[in-house]
Amino acid sequence: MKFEEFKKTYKPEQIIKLAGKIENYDGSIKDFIDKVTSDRNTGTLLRGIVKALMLFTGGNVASVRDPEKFDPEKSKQFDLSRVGRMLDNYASQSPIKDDYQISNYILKILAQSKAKKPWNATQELYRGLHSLSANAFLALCKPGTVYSLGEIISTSISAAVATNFVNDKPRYQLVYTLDNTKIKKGIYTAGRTSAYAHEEEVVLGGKIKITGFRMIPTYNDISPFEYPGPYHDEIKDFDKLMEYVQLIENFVEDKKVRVGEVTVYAEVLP
Amino acid sequence: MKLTTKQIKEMIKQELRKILKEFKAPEAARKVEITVQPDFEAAQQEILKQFAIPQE
Repeated sequence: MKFEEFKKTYKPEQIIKLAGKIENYDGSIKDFIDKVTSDRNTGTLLRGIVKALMLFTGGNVASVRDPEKFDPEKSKQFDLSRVGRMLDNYASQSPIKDDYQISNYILKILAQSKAKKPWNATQELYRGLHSLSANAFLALCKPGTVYSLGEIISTSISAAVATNFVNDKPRYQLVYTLDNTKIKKGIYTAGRTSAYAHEEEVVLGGKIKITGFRMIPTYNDISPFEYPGPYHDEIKDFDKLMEYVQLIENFVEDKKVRVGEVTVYAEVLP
Repeated sequence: MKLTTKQIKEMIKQELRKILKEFKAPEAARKVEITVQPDFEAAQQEILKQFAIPQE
């Protein structure tokens, strides 16, 4: 289906309702597909949603975020999700630009939506950042600051996914713990709809507000310290964090030395 | 002034603590000049840049 036709045919409410059912359907996924595709109109919508989530998790992410970047050559390779494999050959065909435009349209809607999702996808979501400059790192930890996430981003319900993403990367690193309990925003994609099911993603968009942070310094050999030996206590005070970062900047040249485990707490905004 | 053994031991302890503190964390060195400053614009750019890619 052409993008303009898709946009005219399906309302955001229809997209949100059907998308929320795929990962949450209690029965067998085959029954669900048979039921939905028995109606031609709903079947086309299902194919669009399945392809959107599949391209975002296993296709050319840059083209999903900006379909103008569509490159037929780069789009030939993509990974299938479980539902993508089970649907007829639509999902497994090489995507064209319209597919990426439809995916972008669908994901922008779902990222802002309160689509039905499992309980844990409405709790804490995790996202890592690494290779940060000292000044960017400090700003990313500063309580009270509001940041834009962009329109379509990937978070995970698994803290391990975010931690693994930053591990062994240069300083500074941090993991955002995003509180989604109030807004319950985004679309959950995992076992059925994601090409990389283990990442257990929640696709999100909009803004977050930093509410706090904690740093557990892990570097044991920085001298001089405020008191002898390593920092044993967590740093939760921003001025203390500035002091610690300054010490690191002054005395630790090796950017790959692990200087601390940082969790930044933020709230997902409406 | 007469000092008890206990008092003398305590004085020695205090002196030792001072020496150790000076040796391991000199006052001049620990009062670092803070030149780092939060850069909110750079932070926002990092979020947009890094969140654009999946956490693979």
